[in-house]
Amino acid sequence: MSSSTKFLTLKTCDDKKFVLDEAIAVRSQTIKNMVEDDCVSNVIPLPNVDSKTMTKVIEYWKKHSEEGISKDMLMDFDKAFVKVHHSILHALILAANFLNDKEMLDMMCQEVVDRIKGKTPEEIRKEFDIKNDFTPEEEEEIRKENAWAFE
Amino acid sequence: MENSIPDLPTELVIEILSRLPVKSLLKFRCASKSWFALISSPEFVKTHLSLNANNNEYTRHKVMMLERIVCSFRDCSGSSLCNNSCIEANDLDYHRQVPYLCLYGSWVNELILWNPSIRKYKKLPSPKTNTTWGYRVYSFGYDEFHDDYKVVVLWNDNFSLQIEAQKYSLKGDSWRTVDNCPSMERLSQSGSIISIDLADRKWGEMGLPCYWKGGRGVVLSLGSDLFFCDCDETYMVDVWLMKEYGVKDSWMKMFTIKIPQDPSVYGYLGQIRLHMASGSEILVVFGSTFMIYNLKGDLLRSSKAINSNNWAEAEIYIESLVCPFSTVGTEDATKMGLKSLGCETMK
Repeated sequence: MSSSTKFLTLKTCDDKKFVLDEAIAVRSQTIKNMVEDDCVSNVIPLPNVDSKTMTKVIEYWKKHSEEGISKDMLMDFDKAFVKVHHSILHALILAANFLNDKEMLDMMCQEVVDRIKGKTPEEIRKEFDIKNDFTPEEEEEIRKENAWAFE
Repeated sequence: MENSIPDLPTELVIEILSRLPVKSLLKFRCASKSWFALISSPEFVKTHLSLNANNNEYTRHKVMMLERIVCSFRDCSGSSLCNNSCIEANDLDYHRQVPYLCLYGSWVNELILWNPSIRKYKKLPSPKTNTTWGYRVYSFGYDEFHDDYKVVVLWNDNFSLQIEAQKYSLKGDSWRTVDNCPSMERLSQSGSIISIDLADRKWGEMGLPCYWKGGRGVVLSLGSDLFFCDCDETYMVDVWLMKEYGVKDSWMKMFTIKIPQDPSVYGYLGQIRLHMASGSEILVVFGSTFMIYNLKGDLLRSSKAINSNNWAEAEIYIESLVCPFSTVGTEDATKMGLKSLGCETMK
């Protein structure tokens, strides 16, 4: 590693610290802006991300920063990476959004889409913890309007 | 802890929902009042459409086939045609939805504006014309300047050299005559493309590639690009791209498509449709066949719809939630619908 390698310390909301090569950490536009604006002191606080989620994010960043890694290898990595419980998936989406990593956010959102597109409204309510505030009559009316979509 | 699912803020819910196919969204509208309001909002409908239109994998571009004799419409996704040698097309159930005979039928004087992806249609008023019969051409487009959908119709009565043009605005729900229409004489002599600006109703003209010797040709748009297919040779189609819109010198020959030597195919060359399948492949649609070519014009493979092999015409459309009722009316209808359901539109 060249002598110019700089390291950043990231601190998650549960007070865990992660030391990371700056070149990798700037995959996060949020961190990049902080570095460019010179407002980086010793430790960068990440008040919206917990350590469990951050471990996953760093695993993704490191793999995607590996030199000489093939497209196919990255695709296999991504496929395995998104196979997580949906509570972790949502946490990763929130983290990718806060860290402003568009590539990661796109990938995680697409995974949610692939998981939910064939689901019923009942399953969606469970998945997103939504309370059904329609009366049965109102819901029936909406279903009737596009009955073909429910077939 | 493991099972507690962090709530996503509305902006991220939108980020996810805007990637979903129309069918899922129509179902998810009944998840809750706030999801109903979100998915029905004009802002969301626009975001969803623009994401679908700009999707590089073309998963939301659909190929719609018309079987003219029985007037049945089926569709399938462009990307599935490109990735499979055989697909099953969806029946769009046109007969049950639209109580009129046919969309393009020249013997029926009904004009229907139909969004097959939400299966909603609007019957358009009849254009007022002096030409009661003869040759007609219809065209449909989006006027970004006025955020309005427009239909343009051109008539020629087969006897005179006069062409009549009228333009319909979905917002105004009415037809207006377009003045200064070019004459048949000029059209047949000029060897150029005549255009009309949907926003200001001005006619334009641009030259065809210099190398074009005349004969049969088809103008196509693909994404934001304009293409010209020179179909004059029997088994060759030269595909030209206009690199800079309106500039004659910018025509560039992309490739020559070698058409299989099958006489049944040739009759349909006038209805050729192109669809970019990926960065390096192009889907060519005509005469009940789907063929995938590379950008050098080599035939790579073909595909077919197992349940629809007699179609005569195909169109490519982008899946969307856009309602074919007047846009003003749509917003009102949405708001009214929301009011009657007692919920607020999400901002």
